[in-house]
Amino acid sequence: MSRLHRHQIPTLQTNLTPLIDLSFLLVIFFVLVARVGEVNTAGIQLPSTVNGASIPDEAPTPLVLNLMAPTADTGAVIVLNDSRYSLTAASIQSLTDELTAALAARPMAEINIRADRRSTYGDVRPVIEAAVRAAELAHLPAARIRLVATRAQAGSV
Amino acid sequence: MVLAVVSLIDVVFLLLLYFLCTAKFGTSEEVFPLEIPAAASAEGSNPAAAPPLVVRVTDAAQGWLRIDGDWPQPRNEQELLTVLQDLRTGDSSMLAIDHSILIAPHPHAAWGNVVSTYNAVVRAGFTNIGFESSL
Repeated sequence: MSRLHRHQIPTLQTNLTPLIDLSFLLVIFFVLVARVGEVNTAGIQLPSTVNGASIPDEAPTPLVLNLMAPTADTGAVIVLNDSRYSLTAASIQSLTDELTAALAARPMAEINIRADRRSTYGDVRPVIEAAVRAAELAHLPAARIRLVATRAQAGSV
Repeated sequence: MVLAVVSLIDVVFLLLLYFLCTAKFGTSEEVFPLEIPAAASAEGSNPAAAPPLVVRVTDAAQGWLRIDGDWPQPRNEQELLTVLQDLRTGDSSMLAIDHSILIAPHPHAAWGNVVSTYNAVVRAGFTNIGFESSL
């Protein structure tokens, strides 16, 4: 018996427990990131500019107004945080009120307008007007609006 | 012989997590800053100022750009950039860098075309840009 033990080949053992732990952590991370990305960019095709003169978005926490293009079933939809608005006068008034409250709390906040490139200026204009009106109601000198676009590779668009 | 791979895996995954957290996901978004005075009277019309150059964005599929006045008419944003650069820095050099440029989009104009127009005006070097409306 002792001879058998003496000649036994040493085995390579790998402890897989931490690997599995971290793998599951990565899975959870990717699930969370994927859902956040979906909420922020759902259905919006941003305008893209070749050789764009746009600048990087460096505002830490801007107020983000998402404007989704109208579909066959619904009109254009504006999304601010978790609230959804349409382009009716009453809905735009509600949007203005929420923007006013947000600007009163954070007067230096920038307003990012992420409008779908397939929407029309007639859809975007009420959103810009609501932002300007909200700045006025919050007693700010100007509305700090920023039009969001993507920078396309030359020749791709 | 037992290889101590556990610590190696730990460190590798920590590095992986670090790079995942610092990486930017999705397409890179950029912005065009646009500051609009809140009160309409804040920057009231100055009678001494030169009239603004109005660039119209129409809803036509082709030739959707038009400049008010007797200027060369661009057919797209590339030609608009050429025309504006010539107006600002060309031999004639008729417009100053802070000359007011008003973009006047048709309500049915595609937002993508409006942003392309804005981009061309910024690239031409003009600094005083606004939208023609009741804003």
